Amino acid sequence: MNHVRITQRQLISLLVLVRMTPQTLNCTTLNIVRIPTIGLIADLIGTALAVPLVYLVAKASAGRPGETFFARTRRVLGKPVGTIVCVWITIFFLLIPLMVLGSVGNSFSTAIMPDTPMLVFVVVLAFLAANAARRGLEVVGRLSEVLAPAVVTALLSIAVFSVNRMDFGYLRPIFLPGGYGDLVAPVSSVFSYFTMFTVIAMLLPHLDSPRSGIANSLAALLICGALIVIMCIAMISTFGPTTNAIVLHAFALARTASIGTFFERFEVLMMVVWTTGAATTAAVFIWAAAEAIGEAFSLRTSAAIAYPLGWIVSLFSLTSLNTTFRFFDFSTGPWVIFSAATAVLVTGLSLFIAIADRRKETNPG
Amino acid sequence: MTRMQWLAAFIALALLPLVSGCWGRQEIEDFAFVTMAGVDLGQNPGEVMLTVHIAKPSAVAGSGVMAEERRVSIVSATGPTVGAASESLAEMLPRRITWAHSTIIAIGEEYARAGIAGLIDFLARAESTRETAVLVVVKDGTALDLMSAEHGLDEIPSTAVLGMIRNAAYITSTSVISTVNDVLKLLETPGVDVTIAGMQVRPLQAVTDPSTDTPGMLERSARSPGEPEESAGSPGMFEHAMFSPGVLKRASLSSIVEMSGVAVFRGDCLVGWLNQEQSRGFRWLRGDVVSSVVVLTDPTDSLTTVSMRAMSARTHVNTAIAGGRPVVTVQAEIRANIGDSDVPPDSDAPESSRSLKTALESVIQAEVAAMIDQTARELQSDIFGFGTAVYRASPREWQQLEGQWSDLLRQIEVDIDVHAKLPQTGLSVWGH
Repeated sequence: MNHVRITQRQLISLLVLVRMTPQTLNCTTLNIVRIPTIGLIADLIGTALAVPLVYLVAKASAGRPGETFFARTRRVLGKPVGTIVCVWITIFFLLIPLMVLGSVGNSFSTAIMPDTPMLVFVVVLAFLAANAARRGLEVVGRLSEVLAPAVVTALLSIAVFSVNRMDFGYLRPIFLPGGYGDLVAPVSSVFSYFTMFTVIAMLLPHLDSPRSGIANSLAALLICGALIVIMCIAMISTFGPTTNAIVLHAFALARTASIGTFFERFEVLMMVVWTTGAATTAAVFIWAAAEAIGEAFSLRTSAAIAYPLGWIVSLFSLTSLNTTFRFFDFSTGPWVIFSAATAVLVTGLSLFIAIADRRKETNPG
Repeated sequence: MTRMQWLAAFIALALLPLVSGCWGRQEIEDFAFVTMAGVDLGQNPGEVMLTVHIAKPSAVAGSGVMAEERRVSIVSATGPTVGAASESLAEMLPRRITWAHSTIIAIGEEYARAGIAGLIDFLARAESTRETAVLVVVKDGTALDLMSAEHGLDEIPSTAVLGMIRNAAYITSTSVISTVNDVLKLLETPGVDVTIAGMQVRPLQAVTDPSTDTPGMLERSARSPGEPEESAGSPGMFEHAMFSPGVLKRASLSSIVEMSGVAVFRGDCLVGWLNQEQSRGFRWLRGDVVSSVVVLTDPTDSLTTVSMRAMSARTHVNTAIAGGRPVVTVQAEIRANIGDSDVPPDSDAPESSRSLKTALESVIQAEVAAMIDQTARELQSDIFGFGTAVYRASPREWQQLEGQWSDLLRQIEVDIDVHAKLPQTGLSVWGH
């Protein structure tokens, strides 16, 4: 493994950008609920459920600085099984930029530039992301360190400047018409996006102070959770019962934001958030996938794989997630199941490897 | 250069066209900016007529000088839906329509009675329309009437109409501001109905100066200060002197636009109107009156009047179901100042203040009661959101009552309690 290091701030920035990008695009959680306040409850529960996931993955990853999750998997489980696990997780890592780029392309085409083909947005962003991934984690980390505060400020500004249009009465009633079963789908959807934090397993070995990895990972989770809840409250208060009919919630919220009656068009901020968030998210996961493939096949260097992975991601984005309906179907169905299974796999393996290593240390013979 | 460098250069060149500028770029000269739109029923059944104001850049640029032409072009098209009519407009214009600057959407009364759901859906889906556009219903007329009317102070009609709605909502509190987003939410919220500002276009008797040769044109020279209007050189007068004295060279005005209460809907269909007092009663109930003048008459002396300027209103509404019918308790706190007064100077000020408070409370109570009578009992429309209050407090109970809520509204029992406070009297204590 090379000696690239990222700082704690870069780690937090990366994780915040990764998680908030899908939230600013197609927030499918709010589309699959009958009553919008169920989405708010799901956000809270989903964030709470993600805490043990992030803690366990971070704890297992922080224990052995300098050794990636894949290297440990192959060491403990053996090469064949370890390779299969690497491939599985590589597919998971590649699904994320595929979804994000497809979502961004759809969003730009739907909301801003209907005449521009999705191809333009997807290919340009994929190339940008692959280029950043090719340069290494340090470049991606520095990008995110600069962009994350801007993205967070933009999102909070949009929420604050929409206050005039909010009616907090729409946060009531807290009502589950179908019982607790109404929570299953939205909580799964929220949690599925938090499974992106499994990339911590790839990031923490590169952290300059590995012992602070757990605290920083949890801090990033709490920041994301708070932002998601704030945005959800803002959306429900602004759009009321029409929230679950909107395709691009954050964009629609930005269109209602204004300062007085003269400073409007905040949706431009949302376009900036989309572009920067999508490029950074895609870069992180293309880098992680390249590292995983490098580990799986014992390659001397994995950086060169970034460009081919970028092309593969953009190709599949354009062919399989090129419409809003396909994206909805995928993100609320197969993605939820696959991400949950991956989260269980990574968490279980992390624990297993940590226990196996602890036993080896205590019983060297 | 090495092979890899050649390859990298080739890839960069191949991608260059993708970043050469917006693929779907459109220059500003290619756009026709809609500033105001109106929807009416078409002449044929099932048809919709869409009328738009397209800003004329050359005319708008000449502001500061009285233009001899309208600042906007008026274009109409028909179609089976609003979206289809919007597409038909493209055949009449050399530019591409953009709705991004449309601030007013006018709805003819007939179209409103038939249902506005199609219009709202179009406005919510299209990417260039803005959900902050304000809606207005034209009473006893069509949207085309409103869009054909002229305005004295503002030459861009949408600015004038928006200003009038804002004044009626914020200064006199006799109307409401309903945006597309507001109406969309109200249509989807259980237990509440839509209200939209109403306007009326009244024909105005135009005057032509027989001394000029140009038919249809009126040319008046500037009047000297103090010169009575009758000697201005024209044989008659406009009913309302909307123009400052000066050279006026335009076609005679044919109509005047004025606010006309609030349009009340049940579902997405217009069912009736609130007059100005009833509209204010609605605002008292909502507790969002920021300014309004209430005229009080001394019951013992009808010539003695006091106008009270309400500064704020806070209302608490409690809705419950008792004996199978809705029981509503309204508690309102109003702060008001004395605007002007005929009360004789030797009146006892504290006693006057108490009687003024009592009179003001009675008037407000009567306005709220009249509004509820008209809306709940006559029109069976729940514009106040009593049903929403039941839904939010007890959604399962609402599920049982929802189907019969319109009928239950007829039996509504309302208890209105108003408390007025008179913190100031202006710069005078006694009347003059």
